[in-house]
Amino acid sequence: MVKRPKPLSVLIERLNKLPGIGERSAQRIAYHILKTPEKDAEKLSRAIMEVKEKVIHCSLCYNLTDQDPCQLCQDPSRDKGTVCVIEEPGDIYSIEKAAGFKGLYHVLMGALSPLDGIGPEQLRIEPLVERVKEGGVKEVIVATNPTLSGEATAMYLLKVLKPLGVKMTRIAHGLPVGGNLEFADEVTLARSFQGRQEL
Amino acid sequence: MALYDTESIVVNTIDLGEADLLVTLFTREYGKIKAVARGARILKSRYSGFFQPLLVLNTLYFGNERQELYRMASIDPVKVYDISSSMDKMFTAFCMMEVLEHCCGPGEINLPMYRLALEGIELLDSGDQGPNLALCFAMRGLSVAGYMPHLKDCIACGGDLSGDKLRFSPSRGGVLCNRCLSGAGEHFPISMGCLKFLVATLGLDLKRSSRIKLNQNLKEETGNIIFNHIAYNLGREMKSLRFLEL
Ligand SMILES: [Zn+2]
Ligand SMILES: [Zn+2]
Repeated sequence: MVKRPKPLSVLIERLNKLPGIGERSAQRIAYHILKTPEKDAEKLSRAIMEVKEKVIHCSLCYNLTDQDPCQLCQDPSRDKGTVCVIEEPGDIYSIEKAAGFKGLYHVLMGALSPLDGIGPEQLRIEPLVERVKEGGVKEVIVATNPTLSGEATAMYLLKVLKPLGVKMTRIAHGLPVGGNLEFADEVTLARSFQGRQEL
Repeated sequence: MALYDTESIVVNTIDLGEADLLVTLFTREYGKIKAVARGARILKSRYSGFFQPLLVLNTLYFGNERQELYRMASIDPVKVYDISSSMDKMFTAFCMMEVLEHCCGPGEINLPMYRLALEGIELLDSGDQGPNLALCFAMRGLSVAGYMPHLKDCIACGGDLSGDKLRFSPSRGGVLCNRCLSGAGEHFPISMGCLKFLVATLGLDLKRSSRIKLNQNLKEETGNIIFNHIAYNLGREMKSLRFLEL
């Protein structure tokens, strides 16, 4: 069997390790890179290196940023009294795109996950407690995922933050907008009854 | 290619690729299996919301016999439970998931274990269950899986366990009296209270687990004994046990 040139197979192997990229996609991307002008390939490799060198976590909210504190934390128009707690930095972009939320964020960098041995110490919970203790935070909105891990994390936050006298809220789980009760799954439907609001 | 149609308990899920889930199911008829649920993380997926730990589902999946990974075809919930209403409940749920994960071998049919799991889940749903249920469930799971520690007398000499300074030896798989410690490998002190609780869990209706009074020390001691027993005999770390103390 004829073997591929070594650098090419190394590239395919590397790409294959990326999430969501299977063997076939890795091959396709590698051959594409091989065909692109050298300048473009260089830009790609530089972009990868720059991400590693320049992107850091904001020391206040753990958002990804290239300046510390991050743009959001420095923005005087944001409400510093409201902090939205999320699992991953990527969640910020989803909320920013949609929710019209004007407060600040706090990224936990995960959720409690006993089976993986991820406890409170592995998450950025202590810095959040400190942030609340420093004063100025009036409401903490817990926007962890509606999974068992996310709910356990929310309950744990309630336990450690509530005694500090801060208002704690949880984002509602419910029916998808435009959905139809008839097609809603039982779990979502049960949750939306629990999270019902007075009209 | 075969199609499997059975009731299952969701043991655990892991994100796979962009939108899929790798689901571990404890099936009533075929034991523990792993299956890929395509697109299950998309909010509008037909699976949406159902692959939550400890939900009981009618499942249809397919794949070749003896293959390690199946494909989900469809699901239909048997009963929807809410175990996320308190922290105690959730951490007990994590322990139950881990017992099923550790004590059931892939593809091993184990009906008593399945019934135990259903009973545990039912209880978890019915009231505010805490660490006691988790500890009882772990002991009963070990017993059903054939890893029950020896507790009624000294595992080495068969002598009475009424004396003080009793030790628990994971490598021997039971309790030792103080005359039999030499050459027993690593062993831990075990108090009479803990021993009594462990013995009680084996004959006890799970429903009554919450009636036993366990103080914090006893809870920790019992958790440690179970942890070490599982670590040695099953080669697995039951990580969720320490979360019972949160
Ligand atoms: Zn920031
Ligand atoms: Zn003895």
